[in-house]
Amino acid sequence: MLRVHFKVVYVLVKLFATLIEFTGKRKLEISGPKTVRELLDELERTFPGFKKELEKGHIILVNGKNIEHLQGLDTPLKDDDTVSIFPPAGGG
Amino acid sequence: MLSEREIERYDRQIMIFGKEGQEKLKGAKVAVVGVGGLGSPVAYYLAAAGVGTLLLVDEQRPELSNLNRQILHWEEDVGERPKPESARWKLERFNSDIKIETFSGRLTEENVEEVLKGVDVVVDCLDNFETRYLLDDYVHRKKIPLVHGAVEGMHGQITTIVPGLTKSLKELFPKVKEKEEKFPIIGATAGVVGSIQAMEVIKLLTGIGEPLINKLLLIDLALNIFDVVELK
Repeated sequence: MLRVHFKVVYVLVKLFATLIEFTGKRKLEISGPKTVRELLDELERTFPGFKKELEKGHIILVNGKNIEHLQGLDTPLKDDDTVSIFPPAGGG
Repeated sequence: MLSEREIERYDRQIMIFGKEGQEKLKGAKVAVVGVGGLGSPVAYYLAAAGVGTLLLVDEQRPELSNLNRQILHWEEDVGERPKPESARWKLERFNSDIKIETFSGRLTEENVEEVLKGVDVVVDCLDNFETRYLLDDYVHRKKIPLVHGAVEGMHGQITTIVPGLTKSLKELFPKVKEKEEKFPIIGATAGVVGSIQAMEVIKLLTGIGEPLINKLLLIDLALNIFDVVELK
């Protein structure tokens, strides 16, 4: 039997703190995004205002690496990548 | 050498890391930078554990609105002595076997070398990233560990920076937006994060357990989430 597989990227997104309050989700699987930018666009579609929420200050890690040290929003995503997005606390 | 009194005092923790571990704590000097919401439990527990010398650094005096979380400062301290002095008074009465040193002033690029001289571990209990980066630079020059902690509302984060083994704090948290307004915080959040920071110091000094090296612990007490993100 001939089966055709379409390559779909599934990315695990982990949200923290105020982002959980905003979306009501701790974890979600997003299919399709090829870059962090596309992932954020998708999150914005699913949760309107998400990007605005990020403006308060946030850190994005792809498999534990800050995207600032990768390719920023253009950081490519591949299957099974874990993206952690959190608002860093700053107080003491 | 531990005295008879010290062996009795620290009996229950000597069961964990032995007299050898206790002597390592006794021989250590730890800087607690920021004697506020995090610095209070950190200094309190490190004093309780018998860390030989604690250096307390802060430039402020306690305010009434600090008392919901800064448990080393009491009503009588409000507007009176600087936070390091306020904390020193209690800690000396709490554990007279340890030495408390203080620096009541702002940590700057000019004075950081002098103020933190001879310190084995630095604990970041600050409320701003600007000064955190100053500590980060210092520990990298001296090749000593920095235990980072921060809190806000009901969440917080902890990681331990070890020069040569981990990324620097600046690399982990570049471009953090400084909060301009006052931020929400409840004391118990700082209590949890500060207690974990104190454990990090104890683990680093005694060699027990695994410090949060290349690991970022994210805590959300609103939802009881404790998540370790592997930092590679």
